Amino acid sequence: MAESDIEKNVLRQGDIVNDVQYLGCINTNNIRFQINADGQKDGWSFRNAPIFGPAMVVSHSCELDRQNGIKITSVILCPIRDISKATASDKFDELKQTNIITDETEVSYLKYFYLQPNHLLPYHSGAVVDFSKGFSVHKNAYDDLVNKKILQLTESVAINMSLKLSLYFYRTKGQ
Amino acid sequence: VADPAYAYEKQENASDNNIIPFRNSMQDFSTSDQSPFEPLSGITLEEIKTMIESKIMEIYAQDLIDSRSIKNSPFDSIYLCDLFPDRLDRVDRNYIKRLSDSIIDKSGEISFDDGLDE
Repeated sequence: MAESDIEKNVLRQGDIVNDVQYLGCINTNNIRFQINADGQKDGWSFRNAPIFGPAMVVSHSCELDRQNGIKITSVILCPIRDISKATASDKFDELKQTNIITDETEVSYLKYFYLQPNHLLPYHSGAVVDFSKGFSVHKNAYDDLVNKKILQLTESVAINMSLKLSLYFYRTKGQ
Repeated sequence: VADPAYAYEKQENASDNNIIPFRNSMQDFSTSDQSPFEPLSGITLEEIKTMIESKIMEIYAQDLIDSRSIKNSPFDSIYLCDLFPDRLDRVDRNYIKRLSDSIIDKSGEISFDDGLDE
């Protein structure tokens, strides 16, 4: 991860933003809908407290380019989770060792991309990006996300993250 | 380490790709065995004009073909972007498939007690 040369005004794939609401983790059973006289849903409320935390931008950098206004319809984010909260801490050595996918990789944890401890992250033991809990926010949140950007991946790490993200979503039959 | 070129490639001078190169026609004619500017007996000016136009169109068409043959990105002129990490060709797909086939995913062996899974 790079701190000193962060591009302050743009979002790129691999950027880390802090203090965003994890919309993808909403339990939809807790949504209460308001029904109007015609029986139509015209509003809704959510009873649980919102969850905020760091997240990684996984949208394509091209789609996030301000010049491509027609493509910026939303920004896809994945929550970053504290590895100290994991229930299988004995697995983390293997997760770290197999974090970067190579031609020789035989085993990995494709759902998670490990991030080493960084003083700008709220999780001081290290963290993982959880690809399985991705969600998107409206393009109107772009500037707000830029303001919350705290870190960005170096290009080589961003490439490795993108490869693992691709492998997570790529499934051949039977996997 | 995986070859970054498979997953991510930066295109340099993307804006130049939208410019169709057009060779200097004088250079082409000057190297020709039969220059259209040499005196030709029995040929009318109209026929010379047709020859030149034909030669120009031939060069233009070839340049157009050459230019298009190196354009394999849908982002070139449509999206005005010099970064296209989502460009995947057949090699990339085969690479992803090969890796996927050879890797055992153990993600299910890790869970978190942070409330996000509830």
